[in-house]
Amino acid sequence: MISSRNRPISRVPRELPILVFLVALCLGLAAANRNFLAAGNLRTMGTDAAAIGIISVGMTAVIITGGIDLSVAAILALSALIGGGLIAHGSVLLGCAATLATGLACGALNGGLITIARMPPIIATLGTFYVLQSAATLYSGGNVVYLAGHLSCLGSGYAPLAIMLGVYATGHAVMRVTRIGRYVYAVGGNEESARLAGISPARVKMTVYVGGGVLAAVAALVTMGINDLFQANDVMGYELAAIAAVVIGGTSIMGGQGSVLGTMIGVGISTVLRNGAILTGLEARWADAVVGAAILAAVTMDKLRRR
Amino acid sequence: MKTTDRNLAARIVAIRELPALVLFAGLFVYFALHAPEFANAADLADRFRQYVPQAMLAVALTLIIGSGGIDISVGSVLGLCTVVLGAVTLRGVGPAHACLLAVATGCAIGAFNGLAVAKIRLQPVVVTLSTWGAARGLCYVIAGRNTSITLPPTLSVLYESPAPIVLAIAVILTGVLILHSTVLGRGILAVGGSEQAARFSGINVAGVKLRLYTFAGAMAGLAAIVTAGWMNTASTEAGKGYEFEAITAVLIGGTSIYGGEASVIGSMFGVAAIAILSRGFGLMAVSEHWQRLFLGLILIASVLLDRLRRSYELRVAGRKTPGRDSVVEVVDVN
Repeated sequence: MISSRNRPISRVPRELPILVFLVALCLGLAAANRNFLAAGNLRTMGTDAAAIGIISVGMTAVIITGGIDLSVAAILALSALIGGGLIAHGSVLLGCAATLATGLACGALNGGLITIARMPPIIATLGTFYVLQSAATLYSGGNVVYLAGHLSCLGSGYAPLAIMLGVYATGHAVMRVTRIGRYVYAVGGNEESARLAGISPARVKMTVYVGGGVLAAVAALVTMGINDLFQANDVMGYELAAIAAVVIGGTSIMGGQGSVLGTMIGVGISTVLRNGAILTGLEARWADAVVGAAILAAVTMDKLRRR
Repeated sequence: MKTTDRNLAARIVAIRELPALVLFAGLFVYFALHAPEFANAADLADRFRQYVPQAMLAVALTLIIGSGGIDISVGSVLGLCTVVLGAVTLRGVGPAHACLLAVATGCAIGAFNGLAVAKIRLQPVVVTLSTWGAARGLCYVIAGRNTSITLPPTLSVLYESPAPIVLAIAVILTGVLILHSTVLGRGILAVGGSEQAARFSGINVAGVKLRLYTFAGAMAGLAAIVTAGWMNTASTEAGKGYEFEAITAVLIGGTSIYGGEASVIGSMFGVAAIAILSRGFGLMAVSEHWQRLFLGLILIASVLLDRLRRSYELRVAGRKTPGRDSVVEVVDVN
């Protein structure tokens, strides 16, 4: 497995095939349905994609370090409900701060379990998924939080799309330009040699999971802005959608390779597919099955590329 | 004197089923004292019967986790098998054939997982996460508008008979026998200890994995039949969260998430503890969400405990024998 890593990987950017697929998909849909390219539909798609798109950026970094985070949707729900209660009572800034702080704390919890207690990421975040999801339901008593329009500036018009694109630009810059971004690739590529090169894998992983938690909180604010209400079960399954977007976007589940740009295309593909299914009248119940199949196809392709 | 103390401590730590046993006994005593109706034998037996599906999944997961893998899909596969059972019943297939088809469905999905993990060499986490999503999605696709199909009474009559308990005991015995008395069992723990070493010593690693995941699929199929009998319907929601309960039971039961060490009996204590927890919390009118939160904490705590045990055993082994090579000996069958 290690030896295949040493082989040169082809020069074609790994994002190219899926970008071609996305463009072809859009062209096909535009030809089939005039409404696809209408401004209203583009706005709808941007709004649909925003929350999953934002958490997918954090998930990209997590997966590049060779980890996984099954708890992001639960973090989103808990931080939304904790902050949402305050926002509903009018203290908007305090509520937003509470949301972000909750996300940060939950991310730090994941990071601590994985780096200090050295638990495998899959088990640590499976545990926190259940703890945080239950905590969210218990905290809210299963009730709906109404935001009374306090966050509508984040959810109306093109705002969700703009915030998402902002997060992608920042994420791309962090991963490409900064030191920590390069460390993320180094740790995912080979943790031992990263450590020997003077990088602290524990610190890098901690940063990545905390970042994932904070981005889940940002997604929580945007989701509340869009819907103007929130319930603990609203975002169930978002973690799978995010993992799907990352993997479809060409990020290797084995760690060390991938890009935020690819994830953006992955999010684009799943959003356009869902939108296209609705426009062409297909049934929504196929969605889960298709997402699962898409992850498998993408992972198999990655494996074949490495051979 | 001091060395015997240490020997005693080391021997106690070596009983990997102990945490699950302590949790089981502790919860039992606590609920017996705080919930007057708790110790009612008939109700208690009823609750254990409801946890037969989780016990079956836990047996399979013990073997898989012992081999260093994981299968998150079992709950969804159980759901899919239940829906298949309902769908073919709706088309006039008799109960016996319907049950066979359910188990065959489980085997097929399990074999698919196994092929992807063993032959294409994909990571178990990703493969089974995908089938977890895909199998649940297929539930909705196959069921269509019949999200809950009423089944003929045969299955619920069977469920009320001793059949599920007999089946559970048979599955547990099979698991224990596979793990401790077969070549496959040796292979499982060897692969879990070190895949490379297992391959070098001539073990058919891919074959071991393929058989394990297929076995898990078959267990999901069997568990689906029991679940369908209990609920008297085939529901698209069947088995949701079972993978979590089964994995938690396995890990608290002393099977190491890092592979190489496994105990089927420990997992069964784990399932029993979870069953008692659900009954006790139910009687004390504690929300199921508290229960799930508590289970999440147990899951995390049991992995931490496993790590502590490993480092303790390494320390003891290091003291007893100066040669560092003997440290490898910690990967023991017990």
